[in-house]
Formats: sequence, C-alpha cells, structure tokens
Amino acid sequence: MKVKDCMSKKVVSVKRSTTLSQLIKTFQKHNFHTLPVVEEDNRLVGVINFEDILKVFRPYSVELSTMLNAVPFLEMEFKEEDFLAADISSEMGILVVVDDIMNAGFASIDPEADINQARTEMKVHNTHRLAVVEGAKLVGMISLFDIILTVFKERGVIQ
Amino acid sequence: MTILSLGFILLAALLAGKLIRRLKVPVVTAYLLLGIIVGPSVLNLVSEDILGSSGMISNIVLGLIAFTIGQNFALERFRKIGKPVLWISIFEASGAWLLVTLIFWLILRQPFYIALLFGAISSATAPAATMMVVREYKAKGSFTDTLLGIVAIDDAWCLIIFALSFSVAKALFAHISSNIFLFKAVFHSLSEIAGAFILGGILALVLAYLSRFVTTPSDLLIYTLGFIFLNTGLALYLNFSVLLANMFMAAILVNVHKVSFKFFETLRTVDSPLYLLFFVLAGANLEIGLLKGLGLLGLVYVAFRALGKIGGAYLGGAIAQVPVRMKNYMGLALLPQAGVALGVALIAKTQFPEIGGMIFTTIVATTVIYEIIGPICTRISLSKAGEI
Repeated sequence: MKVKDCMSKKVVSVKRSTTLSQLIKTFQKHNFHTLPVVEEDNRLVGVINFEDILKVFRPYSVELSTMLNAVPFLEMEFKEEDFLAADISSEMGILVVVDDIMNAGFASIDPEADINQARTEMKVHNTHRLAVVEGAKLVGMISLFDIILTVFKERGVIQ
Repeated sequence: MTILSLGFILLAALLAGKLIRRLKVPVVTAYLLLGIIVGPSVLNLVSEDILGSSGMISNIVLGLIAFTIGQNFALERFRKIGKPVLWISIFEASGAWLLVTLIFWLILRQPFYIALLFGAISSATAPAATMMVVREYKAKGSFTDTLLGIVAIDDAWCLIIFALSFSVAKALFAHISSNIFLFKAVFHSLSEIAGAFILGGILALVLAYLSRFVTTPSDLLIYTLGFIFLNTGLALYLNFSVLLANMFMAAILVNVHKVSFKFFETLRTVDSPLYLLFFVLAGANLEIGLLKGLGLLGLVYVAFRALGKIGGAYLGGAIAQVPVRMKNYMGLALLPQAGVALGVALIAKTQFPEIGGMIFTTIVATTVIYEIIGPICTRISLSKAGEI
C-alpha cells in the first residue's frame, strides 16, 4: 500500500507569518502534535511541533540557536528552558511568529512511497506524523494513526 | 577496579556538577577539578586501566566533538552567519594563535613547534561559560547576539587551526629529532591534512548513501557512532588528522543529506557521559608536580592569549565595520577557555610525551584561571556594551 492511499489530504497548515497566539489556538483546536509550515504556493518550508513553542523562552534568535545547537557540552550545562519561571509578556503572542521557532530541517515522504517506508521514517525521526511532499509542494500528512486505521479497515477489524 | 572507578567517576561528577552550578561555574570546571582530586596527583582513586585508556577516550570524544562542530559548515547556515560574526571570530581566533606563538617562540625562547601548539590551543573559547553569563544577567541586543554567534563558530576555527599547527609541529619535531629533510616533513604534514579531507569526504558520501537501510532509532545511533569510530580509527591508522577527518565528514554530510540533522540528534543521547568521563580524565592526567615550574609560562599564556583575542576582535570588528563598542569590548567577552582547549591539549600530550605534560598542565591550570576571570570579563564587556 502506498502513502497516498492512507494520507490525510485535508491538511491543517500554518504560514511562516502565523503568530504565536494563532499557532497555539491551531494546536488547541486540531489536537495535532506536528503542523506543516507552507508558503503561499503550498511549498513546504518547515514543520512545527507543539514543543517548539518552548523555544520562545530562549533569549536568542532561531538562527543563533541552531548554531549553538552544534556546540559540544552546552547541553550538559543547559537542559530545558525553565518556562514555568520565565517572564512572559502578553505581546509575545503577536511578536513571535512561526518562522522564529519552526524546524527548517524536517523529514518528509513521497506520496508514491510504500507505507512501510513511512513507518520506518517515523521511527527513525521519532515522530508520529510526516509531511507528504510531491516536488516541493505539500500534498498531505500521514500519521501513525492513519496507517493503523487503513490496516485495520483492510483487515476488517473496523468498518 | 576499572568498573568500580567508572561508576565512582560518573556519580561523583554528577554530584560535583550539581554543587558547582550553585556557584555559577560551568560544570566542565567541576569535572576537571574532580579529576584533579581523584587523580594520581592527589587521592589516586582512578584505576590505572582507566588512566591508561585516556588516549583512546580522548580520541573518541574529540572525534565526536569535531563531528558535532562540523554541522555548522552547512553552506546555507554559513551564508546567514553575518559578516561581524565571521570576521571577528576568524581574527580573534587567529589573533590569539599568532600572538601566543610569536611570544612563546621569540620571547620565551621555546622551540617553534611547542610555541605553535600553545598558540593553536589559545584560539579556543568556552561557549558554556559565555552563555552562562549571558543568561545570568539576561543580556540582550546585537552585541550579545554577535558574541554568541562567535562562540558558536569559534571552536570550529580552533579545531582547524590546531589540526594544521599540530601537523606542522609533528613535521618540525620529526625534522629536529630524526633529521628528516624539512621538505619531506612538510610533505607528510600536507598529506596528513589532504588525507583527512579525502577520508572524511568519502565516508560522508558512504554514510549518506547507506543510511536508507537504517530503520530504527537504535540502528541510527549505532550507525552514526560506527561511522565516527571508523573515520577516527582509519584516520589514526593512516596518520591523518582525526579532527579534520571528522569535521569534514560532518561538513559534507550536512551539505549532501537532506535530513542529516538526525545523525547529530541521535548522538545527543550518548554524548554526555562520554564528555563527562573525558573531562574527569583530563583532570586526572594533570601532573601537579609540573605546576611549580610553569608560573611564567602560564602567566605569559594568560596575558597574551587575552591580548591576541582583544586585538584580533578589534581588527575583525574594524573590517566588518561594527559599532565602536562592539569592536572595543568583544575580545574581552571571549576570554573564557574550557573544553576544546583541554581536548586538543590532551592530543598534544599524547603525541609529544616529552613536552606534552608541560603543555597539558599549563592549559589545565590556565583553564581554571580563565574559568574564574573569563566570566567576569564577559560580564564587564556586556555591561560596557550597554546590554546588561
């Protein structure tokens, strides 16, 4: 079975310019852990997990944080941001946009790929949801639940 | 005894790290001091087997460090890095390198290959200590951003500078001690560098190509570690630079593989205990007896490394046309020295047993000094820059 046979074609996505408060509401409304980030022409440019929201408590830009990510020993000193104790201003909701906190490096899958490959990619990248990309355009999302659902339907476990 | 020592080191270091964090000192310093205390110079609690494997552990850890740092060489990231970060980091790293080398050679009358090694080690900084100050004082602004960018890229320059200097130092040492023709020695040194690039490049392509067969997170970790060990082992066997081979493997990988971040992320699950062990062993390798004779050497190193960084940062800032405050105070903010300097000093110790102890002991002692005065200087410069 191919990815295109079990992916969700109706995709909830966000833009680079989506504000933090809009993003949080989207997560709240749709209950997804991962959302794709697309340009106006539906070109996939990143993905964002709800955990990425914690990046807003970092005192430096996303570019800098990517560079510092490559520095050895820093992880030993600084684990997670203590967001429970952080100063948060209400303006943050409109000042921070998805572009500041999204992951520009992400795993994706071709709609023609086998679902076994999709499952493997999910395991290797430690995620339950992958963007389905044709060319550079986002054409769907496939989750572990989509795969389970398709397999169970096929075997007659559910109608 | 070896396993008991290992268990003791891991738990004692964890505790020491927790305690020292209250004093706002980086945990690396705690590991280092613990190593000195439990090492043969003081309490002698570390088994000889573990001490004897310091060389192997440091090669593995430095392979990991070089590979991790190499991911910053993604072309796309490099384009975004910005002129101030690029110019200041290149000049402050090479400023310390050149000044320390020249002073050790011309004023302290050390052999050129020793001076070159000291110079190369002096180019490193300590991102963790810098970051700690930035966070503690909630520094914000363009000076802070540039500073963090510099410390993020600076250790990469240090590894490159050290790899080149190390290879030239080995050639010069061979020329002096075995009367090998200088031309031949230089050729060896060039082949060591070129070989590292070729080896790292080939293995990166193989790693990227075969990664399609990796199907689980545990496979991914084994696969990535396997390639780093293979690269490190082959580099050692073929007498190529371990640092350059691993850094180049990562640099090629990030530019040819779309989802290369997974290789670096998986390493995070295992690197902490290895780094910890590495720093404790670095401390344990300190020969306290040598400290007595190193006063002048240490003092000159501390002073001229600082001058090299301050002067270099000023020049780099002038070229990048940064604001006056950034030009004047950036070097002062870059004085902390820690992990990478110790790592490369340990390589020097292993390669040059006769003089390596002296180099390593000087670097450990000056690291402790810099970890104390460095953060104070960083705080002063952030304050002068008006960002705290």
